[in-house]
Amino acid sequence: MELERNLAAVRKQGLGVAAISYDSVAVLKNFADRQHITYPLLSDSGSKTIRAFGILNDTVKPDTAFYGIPYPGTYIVNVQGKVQSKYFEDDFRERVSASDILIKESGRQADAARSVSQTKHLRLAATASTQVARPGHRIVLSLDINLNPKMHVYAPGVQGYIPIDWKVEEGPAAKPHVFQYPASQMMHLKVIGETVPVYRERIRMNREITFGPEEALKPLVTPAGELILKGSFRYQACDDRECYLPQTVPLEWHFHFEGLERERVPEELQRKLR
Amino acid sequence: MAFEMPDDLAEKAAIMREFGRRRAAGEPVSAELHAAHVNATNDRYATGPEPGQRIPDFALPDQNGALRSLSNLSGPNGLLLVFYRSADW
Repeated sequence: MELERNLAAVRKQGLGVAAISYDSVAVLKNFADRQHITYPLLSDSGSKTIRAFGILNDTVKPDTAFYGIPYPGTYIVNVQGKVQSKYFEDDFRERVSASDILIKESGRQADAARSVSQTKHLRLAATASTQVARPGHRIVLSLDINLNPKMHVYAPGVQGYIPIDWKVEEGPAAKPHVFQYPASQMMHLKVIGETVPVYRERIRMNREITFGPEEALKPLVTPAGELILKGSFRYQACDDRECYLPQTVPLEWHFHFEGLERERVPEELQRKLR
Repeated sequence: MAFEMPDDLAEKAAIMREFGRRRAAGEPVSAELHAAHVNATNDRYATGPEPGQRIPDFALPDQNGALRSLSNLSGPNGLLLVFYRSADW
């Protein structure tokens, strides 16, 4: 499970980890053994804690085995139990991945699925918060751009030059989320007597994407089990003497596809209708 | 008195159906449809305590039967607490 994979990184942030569901201790033990889960899975069989938090999903009918489930989400609380941040998704089939939460909480750069390109003007490293593509997971994609000395590129909103443009392919595989370009600097161009918004030296950008449902991802997985996300970075670089032709750098993020767990606990442990 | 579905409920149901159909088919979902779907499904959507608020006390058994609460789960900087639907399905 994804949280287990990111456990060391979460603990490095000084955080304990626990997960709560309405499953019985027996179900949780079975699941933990099969999936090699080492962090605490708490059993809230009567959904008393789920109710106390106020997150009982009351759109589920009381006469089904699913009654008692929560609206799924994650809290980060301090030692006194005060909420520092929370992550809840609108669509029940989506969830903010642990790798995404780690990037947001730690301020670290994403460092998985790394690929590097070099042009005449800059060096570009594309990374992701995780190497694994799981249906419905929201993850972070990062671009880390180092401009050659004396080079600058232009920020969105500039007139007369091509601004940087980071595109991520939108389709059934992934839904890119809206993101903001980082703050730019104003630079005065003496020759034309204008002040323009630019980026110099280094640009670091993060944006989130949510992987589509399993039925949308599966057809796109290669025989080697890879899912590839494509994108592009467009820019126009100038130095102190001249401007160069706009460039579009193709980008790729390679993920290992992991489908949803389908294996159930033994029949005698499965939750029955009440 | 015969039950008449209020207009807005029927409209919400239609929005949820369309959203679900598109997602299942891998078709693109416009920002407008997504926003309408979020509103339709989130009428009583609750996400619990907000940043700054205290979570309720709890004491629950873990997969080994040991009783756990905030004090024996926290690290020095606190606790990452995940609520999920089920380990089984």
